[in-house]
Amino acid sequence: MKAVPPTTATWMLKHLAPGERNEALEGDLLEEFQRRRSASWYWRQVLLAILAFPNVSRIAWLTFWAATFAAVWVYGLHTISSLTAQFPFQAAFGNWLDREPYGQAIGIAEGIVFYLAGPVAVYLALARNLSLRSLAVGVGAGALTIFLLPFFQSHLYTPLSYFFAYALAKHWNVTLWLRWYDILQGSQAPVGIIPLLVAMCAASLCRTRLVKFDPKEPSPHESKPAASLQEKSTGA
Amino acid sequence: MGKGDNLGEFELTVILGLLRLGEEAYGVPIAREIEVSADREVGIASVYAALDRLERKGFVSSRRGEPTPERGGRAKRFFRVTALGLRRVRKTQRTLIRLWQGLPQLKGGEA
Repeated sequence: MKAVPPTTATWMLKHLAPGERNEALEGDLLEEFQRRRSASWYWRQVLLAILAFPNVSRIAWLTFWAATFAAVWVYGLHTISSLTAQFPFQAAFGNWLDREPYGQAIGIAEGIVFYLAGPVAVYLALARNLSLRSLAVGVGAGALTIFLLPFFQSHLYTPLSYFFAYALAKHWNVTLWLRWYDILQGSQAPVGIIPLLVAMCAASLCRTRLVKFDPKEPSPHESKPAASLQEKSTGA
Repeated sequence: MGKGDNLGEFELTVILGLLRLGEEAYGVPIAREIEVSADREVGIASVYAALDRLERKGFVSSRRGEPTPERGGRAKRFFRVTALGLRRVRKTQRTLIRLWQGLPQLKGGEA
């Protein structure tokens, strides 16, 4: 009796792979699976087929993955915070959150770590593109987006706008009700995705700076011609 | 020649695998040929993605085979290298040979 590949994976291949249905690929995977491959191999191939977009540009691909990652991250934290009723920083710092100005400072630090720098760093590390420069560009772009968002939609309160508003309030005696984590409450959770998405796209597109070589340092190459290389390879 | 007409590393690997297999080949043997020759695991979906790009560039052509019961009634898609693809491979080969000949022996690491 011939082995049957995982039904769910086959369904996903038929329905979730982008573009027109690739009947040849489905047949090839089935043929190879029945010949010598494992279920895990089949799953890997199916996921690869779903995730490998042959017809989209690099920017569109990056945007798609950044959006997916941002949504999972923000809603994941939202769910965790809903279940535990407090954030890790709150548990760690306890009563300090109720004291001025430590509470606000901790709130800002919490937001930057958990909702901007943290996810951007994880995203860059997964993409093997983590560097201080790309992280700084990403966080900067995200912070700028957070700051600008309320100007476009006044009821959208975002973490950094709260920070600036609070700083102003200290001088102008304006009462503010928002806390840093308000953004994660209910319908405001989607707002957190926008700056994170911008941050990740900016960080991804930030190329690592080219390292300039020092002309005084010896070259890593030996000054032998290619002939010697060929001789060595053929002799080996 | 536009930038889009260049051969990427994996595209070159796929087209060379296709040439090694002869007249017509489909996804499974192409992937297997690359795995054996290049000693690397490749996804069949990645091979198809590369073949689609090569077909859009005019370097390979494809035709649909007959559906077979052992493949669950799914047809194979056979590929062959076009004359344009062959010219591009030869040009890439000449370029690489020239570059290789002018390259001094590398120090550190293994070839």
